[in-house]
Amino acid sequence: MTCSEVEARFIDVLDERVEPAASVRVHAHIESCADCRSRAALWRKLAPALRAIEPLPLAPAAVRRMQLDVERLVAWEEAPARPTRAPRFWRPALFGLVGAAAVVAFWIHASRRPGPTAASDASTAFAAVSSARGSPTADGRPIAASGHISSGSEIALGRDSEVEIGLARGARLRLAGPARLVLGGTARDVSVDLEEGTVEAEVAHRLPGESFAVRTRDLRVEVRGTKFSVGVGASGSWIHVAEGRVAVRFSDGRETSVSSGESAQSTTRQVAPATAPSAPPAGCGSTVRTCESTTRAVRQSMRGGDAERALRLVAAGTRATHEADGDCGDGLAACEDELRYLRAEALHQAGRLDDAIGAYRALDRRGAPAATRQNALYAAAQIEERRGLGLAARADYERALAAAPRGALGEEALVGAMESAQAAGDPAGARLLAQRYLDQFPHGLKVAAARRLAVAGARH
Amino acid sequence: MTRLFYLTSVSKLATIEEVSVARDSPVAIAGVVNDLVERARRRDGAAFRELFRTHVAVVHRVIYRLSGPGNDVEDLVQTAFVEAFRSLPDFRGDALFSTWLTRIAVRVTLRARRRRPPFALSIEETAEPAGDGPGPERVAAAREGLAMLDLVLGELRPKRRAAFVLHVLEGHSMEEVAAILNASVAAVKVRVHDARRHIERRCKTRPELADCLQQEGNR
Repeated sequence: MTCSEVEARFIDVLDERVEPAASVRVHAHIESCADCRSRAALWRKLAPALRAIEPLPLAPAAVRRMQLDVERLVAWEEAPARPTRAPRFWRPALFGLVGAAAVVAFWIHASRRPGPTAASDASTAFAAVSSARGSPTADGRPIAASGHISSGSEIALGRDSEVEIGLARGARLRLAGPARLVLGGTARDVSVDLEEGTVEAEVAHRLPGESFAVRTRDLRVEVRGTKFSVGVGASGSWIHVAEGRVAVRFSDGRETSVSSGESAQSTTRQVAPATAPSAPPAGCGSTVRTCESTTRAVRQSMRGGDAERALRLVAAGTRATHEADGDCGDGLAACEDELRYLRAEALHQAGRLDDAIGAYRALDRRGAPAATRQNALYAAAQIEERRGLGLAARADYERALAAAPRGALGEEALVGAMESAQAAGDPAGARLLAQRYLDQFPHGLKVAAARRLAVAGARH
Repeated sequence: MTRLFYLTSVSKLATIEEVSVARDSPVAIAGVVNDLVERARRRDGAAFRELFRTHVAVVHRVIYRLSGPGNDVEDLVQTAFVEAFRSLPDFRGDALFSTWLTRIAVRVTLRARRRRPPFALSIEETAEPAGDGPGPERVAAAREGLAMLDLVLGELRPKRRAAFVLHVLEGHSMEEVAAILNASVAAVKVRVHDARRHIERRCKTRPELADCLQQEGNR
């Protein structure tokens, strides 16, 4: 056996994957070779040490959230059809066609003017940074000139910082510090939530069905194609229009149109809780799309571990949906439900467990989708279970079961109820639930456990 | 012995754990997994959930070790499961489901890393645990060990890193690694050898690194 052969089997020897005869030969070589002996000694210590270093386990809430996302993406849609394999004799022609297409695509790409149009893919290049001065940040990370900003990013500028951002369809934003805003939406429907400071916007003409909105806490500006500035300070928000015309709606319901050279301002007196608007400033389609892009940004923040930002995004998204007409239909209602669910998840992730349980339970309301109600109650029950609140957990499992009594969701809730009844020392209740499980899911995953519980309960 | 540690996961529906306790046989566990895969193919929601819950920890660990720290680790885990579940009709059962899933996780991770190189984890970097997560001392210790491990692994080229992680850290045989990486056994041996040599050199030039890694491992 050579040194390299022996070395290649170090880990197999450690894991006892080597046949006895081969193991003897490996050990004999190690005993007779000083190099291999010292190397084997090193790896005998190092391999288990390296293996023992594991990433922190995923938080249960993160696992649950991921599971729901995976189910949403997979379970309810059919796998895309596979392209049929082309006959062998077509392959040279196919290669030729592909090559020609690549040349044409490259030529088109090279002939395009570089700039914000590259930001049309909302997921990867929602916005392109044209210039940056000082220390602006996006989600806490420094913004570099010529870098990209994704949808849902929180942009913050300190004093003496400036940044210019190009968006799809030729829109540009200029920010001077101190300022803070959340840039959200998609290439078609841009939403800017200005929390502090001033933003100058230059918006090329939007196509029908597209929108560009700037919101502060007390006004909303909806534009089609114009050049304007919006600022927010302690005394309220203001807007100045340099070119074109914009529609402005204040939080007290007043609406006004501001033309080129004109300004409008809210005052703290006008800053009031959002009231039902008389008419939606944007079409329902764009409201729903903006809401959906907010949910994506919230999920992204939660995956990044930033629950507080997720909560801020949910608050902004909820505010935006409240501004829409009440007749936006099921699409907006479903998105609002999802925002509520994400709020509960974010509270859970932030460790605000009592608030999270309350938020989860609030989702159990008439008219909400059964899956949402079940997921929320199940999540609440799991938190209660981990906190030792057995009775509350059992009650929530049973409510989850009532919300979705059939299918995989029903099975999951029934298992939770059955196990929590057992944990609470209620064998009779556990037996009833186990019997129900056996009747309802005779080939279910927990049949063995249910049988044990049914028998144990009968003995009592 | 076939590796089974991944089967102890965060699952509430601890079906596979129950089976492993009851029968203590890898064959029995493989049978349960195959049954779940078969049911998932028929779009059984409960089977999907069970497969996800019993494999999410190992997929997360493999992707973390391959990619290093970053906000997108959970995204990669999710993408791996979505690709796997969509490809379930293609799973022939020639390999273990976990090996097949690992292959997809590796492919997803390497593909993502080609687009975005990994960044190093600083020891101070905070990723706040959830309210019911591990305690602060454990978090701090784990973070220090992870930073050290990432320092070492981060210097390896992606293919070497993948071969090293799968063979040395995850304990797959050379043949399994070759199947996962879609490479020859000889190529995998060379990659693991090169990676090991690199780490040995680093441990020689920085003895405190080897000491630290061993101490972290003993925690």
